[in-house]
Amino acid sequence: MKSKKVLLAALAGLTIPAAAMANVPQVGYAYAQIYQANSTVTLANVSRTGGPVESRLVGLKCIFPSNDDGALVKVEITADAGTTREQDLSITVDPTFFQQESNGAGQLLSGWVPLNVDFASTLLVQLNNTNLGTATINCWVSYWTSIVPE
Amino acid sequence: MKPKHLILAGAVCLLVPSLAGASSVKYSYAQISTANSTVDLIPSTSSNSTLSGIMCIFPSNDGGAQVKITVTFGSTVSSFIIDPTNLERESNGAGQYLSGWIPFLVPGSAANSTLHVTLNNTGLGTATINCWASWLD
Repeated sequence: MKSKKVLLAALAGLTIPAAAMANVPQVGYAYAQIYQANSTVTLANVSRTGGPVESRLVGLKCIFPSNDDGALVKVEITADAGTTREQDLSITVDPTFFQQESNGAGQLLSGWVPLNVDFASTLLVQLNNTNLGTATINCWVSYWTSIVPE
Repeated sequence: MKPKHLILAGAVCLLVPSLAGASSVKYSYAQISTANSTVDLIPSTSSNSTLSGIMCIFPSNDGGAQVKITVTFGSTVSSFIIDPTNLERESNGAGQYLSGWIPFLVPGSAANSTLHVTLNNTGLGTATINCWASWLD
């Protein structure tokens, strides 16, 4: 093969995958409220199939009532359950020193907490208040998933 | 110029746009106020767009109205509804309901397609809802 043809073939190999590659992200936003003593509620239960998946739990926000009276919430995160990549993470959110609405109900605000937890196939986010006091606590998460071209 | 050089130059021109990724920061605003309607928050982009975040503000007299956000990357659609019921409220002024900036931070490595974001309130009640988006193009 002449050098010009070799060069063309090599360049075609470089350009075609770049042109054909089209990642297809989806974004998600989920909400849950916990208010019963010693309970667990699901905030997000995500799975995506159809190819290799690159995904991330991006942020978490919780709002506590003004009459929270010391109640906390535990956020339990399970990424890629049952696989070799499984991660079991948890954080306990304590509103004691949070900013507070100055009008209205005077709720305690976490703002959006950046998490950036990567997962490849599944994500489960749950709220739990076992032995953490009881109040009506509202939480939200944001995430994205994307199928990576093979 | 030799043919080999021309081929190389042409190939570089083909490669550079696909490798460059997003190059500018964008910020969009839209208001939805008409019942059962759809408005563009981010009009269809050309390519290589990523979504950083979305924020919506609902009026204090929202009356239960919600907004559906639909995000389309290429031909892949995802959507979610923002319900202001339990959101925080402005401390001054009208006492509007505030979503805050919902972070998505989709990186360029996960999105190399066109992007289109709409607001829709079909069957979700009617109020004057303002939304913003930040994105990279």
